[in-house]
Amino acid sequence: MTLITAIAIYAGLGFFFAGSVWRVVQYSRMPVHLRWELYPVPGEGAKQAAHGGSYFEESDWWKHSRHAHPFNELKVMLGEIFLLRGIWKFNRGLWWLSYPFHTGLYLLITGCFLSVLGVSTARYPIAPALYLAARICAWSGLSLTLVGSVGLFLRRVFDKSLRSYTVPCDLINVGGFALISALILSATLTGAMPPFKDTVFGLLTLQSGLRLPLLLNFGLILGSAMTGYIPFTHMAHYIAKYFTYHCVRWDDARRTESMEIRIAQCLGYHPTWSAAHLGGEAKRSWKEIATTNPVGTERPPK
Amino acid sequence: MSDHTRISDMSRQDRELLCHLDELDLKPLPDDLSAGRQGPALTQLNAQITERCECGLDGACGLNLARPKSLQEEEKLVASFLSGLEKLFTKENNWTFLQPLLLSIEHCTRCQTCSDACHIFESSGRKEIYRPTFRAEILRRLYFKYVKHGGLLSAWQHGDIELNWPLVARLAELAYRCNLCRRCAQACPIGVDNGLIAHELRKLFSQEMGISPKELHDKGSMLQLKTGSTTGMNAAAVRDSMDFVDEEMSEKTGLGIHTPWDVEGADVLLIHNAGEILAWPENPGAFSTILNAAGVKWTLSSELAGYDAVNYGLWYDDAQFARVALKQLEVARSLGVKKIVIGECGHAHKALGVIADRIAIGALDIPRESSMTLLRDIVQSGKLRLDPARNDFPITLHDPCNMVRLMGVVEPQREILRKIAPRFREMEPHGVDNYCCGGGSGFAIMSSNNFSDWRSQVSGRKKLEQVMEAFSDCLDPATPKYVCAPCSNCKGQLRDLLSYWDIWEKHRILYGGLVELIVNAMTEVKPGFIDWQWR
Repeated sequence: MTLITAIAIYAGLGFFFAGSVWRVVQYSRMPVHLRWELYPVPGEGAKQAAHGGSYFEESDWWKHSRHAHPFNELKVMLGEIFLLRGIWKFNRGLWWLSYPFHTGLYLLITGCFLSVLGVSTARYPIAPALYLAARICAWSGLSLTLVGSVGLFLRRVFDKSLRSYTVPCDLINVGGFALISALILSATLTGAMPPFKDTVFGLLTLQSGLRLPLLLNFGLILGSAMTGYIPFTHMAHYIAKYFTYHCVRWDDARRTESMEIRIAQCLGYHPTWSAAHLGGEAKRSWKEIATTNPVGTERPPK
Repeated sequence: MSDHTRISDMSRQDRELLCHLDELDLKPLPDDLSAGRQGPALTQLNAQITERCECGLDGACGLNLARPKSLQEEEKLVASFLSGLEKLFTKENNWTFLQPLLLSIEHCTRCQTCSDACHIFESSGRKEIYRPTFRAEILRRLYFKYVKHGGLLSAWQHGDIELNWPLVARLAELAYRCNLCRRCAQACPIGVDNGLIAHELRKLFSQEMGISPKELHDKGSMLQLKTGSTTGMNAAAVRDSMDFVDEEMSEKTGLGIHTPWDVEGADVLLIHNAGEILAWPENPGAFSTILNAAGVKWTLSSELAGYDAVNYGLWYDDAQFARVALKQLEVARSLGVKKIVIGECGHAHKALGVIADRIAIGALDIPRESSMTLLRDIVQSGKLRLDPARNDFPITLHDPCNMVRLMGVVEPQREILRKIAPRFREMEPHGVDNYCCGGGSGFAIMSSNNFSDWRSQVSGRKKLEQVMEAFSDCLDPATPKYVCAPCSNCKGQLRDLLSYWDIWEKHRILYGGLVELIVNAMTEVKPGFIDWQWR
């Protein structure tokens, strides 16, 4: 059973990474789009970003060289990722549930990372400290995830504005996190657990002799399945957010030569829109459509 | 009244409205403006309209969408919608917005964080059909079911929906219940953009089915491409009108005002929203006064589309948008001007200044600039002698969404007002957080049937609340007050909104542009440039 659990963990991680890469490739390969930024744009620099302004506030802006301010973007991004500032600002009630949930997941990821590091440094004196830190992260992470996911589940059920838009899958997703956290926590509290370092080592190295409590096996298998499933759902917003922020909301990039080449390709596409004013059915390219006047031009008398 | 409208109700076959707008349900207005009002919030549509048009959404009718005459016609229209839906998600048909659209469709968690950011949802008394996620959720479900061809598992994962003609008809009208102000997108922690989804729905209806408000298409972009302006003015008419404006302004200011035309190699090609010339001639007149006094080498153009900055395609149709933008750029190229300056028109700022950036390639890459920055530079340069005491009345500033939240031109207009308006006060919230006037995305020019009622009762309600609160310390009609709105469409909406609620009579609150305030402060101009008369 434990060997199956270990294989499930590797499979879950495999699906997770493959799915995430697929998502990134899917969005990266999309054609260049028209500008659609939304201010404030933190990359504008402190002076402008403070009031949400842009380089369009400068006269003859095209004559000035532009300095990107990645540090400002990073500051906003980190606040958004680790403090969920957007939800804090616009939906405080949800923040009290969403924050423990997300922080719990971050701690779990950190715990897993520290566990692997502990196994890798088993011969060195730092290993026990790493295991201890990993256990603390895992325990606090599981607890916070449990609290957050139960809260989010109840909110979806009882809040009318959320309930109307909730589909069965939403409840299963968030309920799944609650179930997995509860299973693993209760197993470690009630079951006869081998030492933490042996558990991690055994799972990582596919030790067939490792024996874990049944509940823990279930919890880990379900957790692995959930991990592999995430990239294929709307929960992949850890990837989407990069694109929605950097490639849409904050994309105030001026045109470059390489962008012009990509735009020229797009202008060569033959759309098939059917409305009369577009001509329809792939007869003309976007460029031809854009440069054609659909009405008989009444030449303005001078 | 509690609102239990569900997404599945959009497919209801009966002709009952999905949402009844009653005075008592709407958010109360300050100063008891809405006190005592009860009954339907909108003028009831007459039987002829309801028989002829699809009006099954909320009792307003902006699209005049004709009812199909047979089941076969309904089926044909639904098939056409489905065909457009598929095209919306292909790069050949929609490279312009495919990436942002897919991101918004695939990643909404339906947390409803965006809802409270929407002025329409709030003002309506939280009517479900106006929730930003409502129409987005419909498109999302249609996408997963019909574009991704999801089966039962997909329905379980994303929700099911029944596609029929009533749904398509209601969705077409619902696409025109969003101002595209994108305040909801600003609030979304994931970056989902429900404003964009409304925009893309409009494109589907226009580009595939030929469905769009006549004010935007037939009398809008098509008329502009035919005559040169959405006002219908051709070159001769616009020059005549501006000659008249010059005469009026010369008399009013005491200065000889002459507007230059078609000057090759000018430093600045100024493009007004041509509607200003007819509706608020003091605005283009004030521009002429300022630019001449500051010694700017500038010109207007009498070429097709060169004298009208508007670009309604921005709101509903990519092809129409590109056609108008390219014509405007071509005019500037042929004149050999150094830059285009966009007059007081918010959506023209966004259209020509930002969105057109990625299609203005090669020789059409003419620099474009906001008039706000040029005016700020002139005011700060000391070239004009300005006496702020001439503007000694309460002034607040409306932020046009397209210029501010969507382009980042926030401070120049404030720098001007701080210099020339001693009693300037901000409305709350302001800047990039400000609310739409309620006329955004074409609504200001849409007045079919009872649509202007809807604008004044619902979409404009939040702006009225903000204006009233900004002047709450001086509402007495003895004190004239001024809402500065440097955007033609916003002014149109403010005119209708303030008039609907009788605000001029009750509180002496007037609206107008920014340049009028600058000229009003110029010492070389006869005092009293601003007419304290309702218009």
